[in-house]
Amino acid sequence: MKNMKYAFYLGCLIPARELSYEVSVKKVMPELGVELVDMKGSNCCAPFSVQSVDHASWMALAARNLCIAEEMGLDIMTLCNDCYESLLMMNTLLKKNPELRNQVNEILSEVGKEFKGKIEVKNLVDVLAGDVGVSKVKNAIKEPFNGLKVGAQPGCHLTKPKRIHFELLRGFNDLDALVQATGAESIPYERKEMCCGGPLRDINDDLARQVSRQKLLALKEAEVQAITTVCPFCFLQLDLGQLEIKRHFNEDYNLPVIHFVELLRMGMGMKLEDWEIKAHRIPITGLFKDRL
Amino acid sequence: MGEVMFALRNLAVRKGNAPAGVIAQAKSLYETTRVINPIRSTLDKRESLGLGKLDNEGLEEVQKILKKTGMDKLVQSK
Repeated sequence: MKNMKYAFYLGCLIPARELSYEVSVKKVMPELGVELVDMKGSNCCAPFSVQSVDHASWMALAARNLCIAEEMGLDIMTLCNDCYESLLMMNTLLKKNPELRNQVNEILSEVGKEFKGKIEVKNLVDVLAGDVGVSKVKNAIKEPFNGLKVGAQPGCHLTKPKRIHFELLRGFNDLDALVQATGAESIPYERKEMCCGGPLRDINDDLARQVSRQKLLALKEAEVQAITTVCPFCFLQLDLGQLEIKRHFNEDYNLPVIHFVELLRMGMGMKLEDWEIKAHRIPITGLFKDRL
Repeated sequence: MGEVMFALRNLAVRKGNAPAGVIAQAKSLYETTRVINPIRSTLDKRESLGLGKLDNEGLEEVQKILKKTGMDKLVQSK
């Protein structure tokens, strides 16, 4: 039987803005046999913004987190697609490129750490679909969603860069299968592979809004009843983003956005608390009223 | 292509040409180990939910790394 114990990498955004995501993960995963151990002393994954400032710093900071997990003897599970990209990319590159590994280890020697290449980096979807298994997830559902039409937003880094994910044979299918396991229907839509626009925040907010607007238009055209996300940036862009789009474009989408793990939690018969319901800027009470 | 874009951005930063938000995140990382930090009420909520404290035990190591790479100078000068 697969050992389902992971070094839990939380990242920066979830503890700052989305406690409800963390709470749902910590309620759902033990019910599926998954044990999560906090990574003490970890630092920011050094996402694309830090990569833009200094490449060597990105490599060393991402690798430091990998070393912490190696010292714990556990594979990493992340929730955020940005964290996943940074840590997965660095883990893959350092395992494959001895020269790069030596360069990074030379920097890490300043703090007495050394990357050895002993662990894997996984996303929530990897763990649920690959390690727990879609069947087990399905069997855990006590209150199926009976055909609820859901637009699944996988986010960029679940499947990109292609050169990394092709080898790992990952694609959209895992998240779709998980959504279907809850009894909901994962609806195909145009621009599913498109970014939510989140990385443009603080660089060009207007463009960030335009990108998320394109996604929301596509989702509306596909007639989904709700959107489900696995990345906290995607969640913010598509949830809070609808209020911004209302202000700037005078358009209403009224599409509830829910973290996939919240969907799972409700399907498993657990109710969300009042403060968690209020954490959604587009109200979810109408669509999920019997489960809150 | 992605690597080329990052290399160009690194050069731009060294010339002092970077969005303020990006530099602010990098500076926060140097000062706290995180690019975004929770506000006080979020930390209190966290404690009330029994989620465990956020630590910055890694601060000294992060700063040593960023001094080694020179990123400390890039963000402290802004």
